[in-house]
Amino acid sequence: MLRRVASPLARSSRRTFAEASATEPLVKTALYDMHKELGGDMVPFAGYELPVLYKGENGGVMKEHLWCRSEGKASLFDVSHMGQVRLCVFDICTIRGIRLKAGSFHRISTHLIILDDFSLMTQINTTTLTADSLARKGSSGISRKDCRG
Amino acid sequence: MAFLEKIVVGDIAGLAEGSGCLSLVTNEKGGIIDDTVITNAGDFVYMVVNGATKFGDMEHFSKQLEQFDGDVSMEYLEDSMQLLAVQGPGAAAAVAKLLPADFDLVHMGFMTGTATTLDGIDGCRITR
Repeated sequence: MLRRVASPLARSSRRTFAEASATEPLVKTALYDMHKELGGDMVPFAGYELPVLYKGENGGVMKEHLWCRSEGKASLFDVSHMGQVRLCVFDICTIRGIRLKAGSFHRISTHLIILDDFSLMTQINTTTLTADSLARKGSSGISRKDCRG
Repeated sequence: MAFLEKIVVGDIAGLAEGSGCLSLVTNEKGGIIDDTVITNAGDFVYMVVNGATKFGDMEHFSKQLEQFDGDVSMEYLEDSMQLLAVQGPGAAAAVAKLLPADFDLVHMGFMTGTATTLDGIDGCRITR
């Protein structure tokens, strides 16, 4: 039985904080354009391009610090560089938006079907996808590629 | 939960659904390698680790997962989920404008989280 989904570390594991700026291009967050429009001074931060400070009349360490602490005011921090992880037991795992449950039938794609406790294997490109023993153990494992589709 | 309690400190199994806590990620010797916020999201456990240490953390989690005898799946939401923090005395009022009308942010407890629609965008998670 293949038990787990590991994280997609092929690329990530090579990228550490120290190396990030030196060896790989900086990652832009979804709000990159907004930061730029608002005068964000984009600098390398943990492998990302982030606005540690903003330019302009309301920008700067002191003004931004005080704004965030003033009555009725708030500040938005783009902390998308932080790592977000989802852990779950397999039988309530989601693959391609389909919530898997033991004892049920799922068509994940034209190439892959998971049916109750039967093991079905198929090939998508060169990756073998398997799912087994759903009913036997009440849960199951799944190969690392599965959750990635 | 058993897996989580191998890699972090604290009573993770005791977290009520929707509740989170600050915890520490520890190595095999019990040394601290990161701090993290862990939330029981019902169907899954949601965990946020520091940006500067996330790749080291993920390597550590993967290694521990390989050695763990249980049915746990782990998904690193690599740059697919954005994370924003709104801080300040006016933060709740600002965020409330984007929440559905029936969302009760006033009574939402500290360190609790839930799935929500935010400014019409489905699939968001909010944590207080």
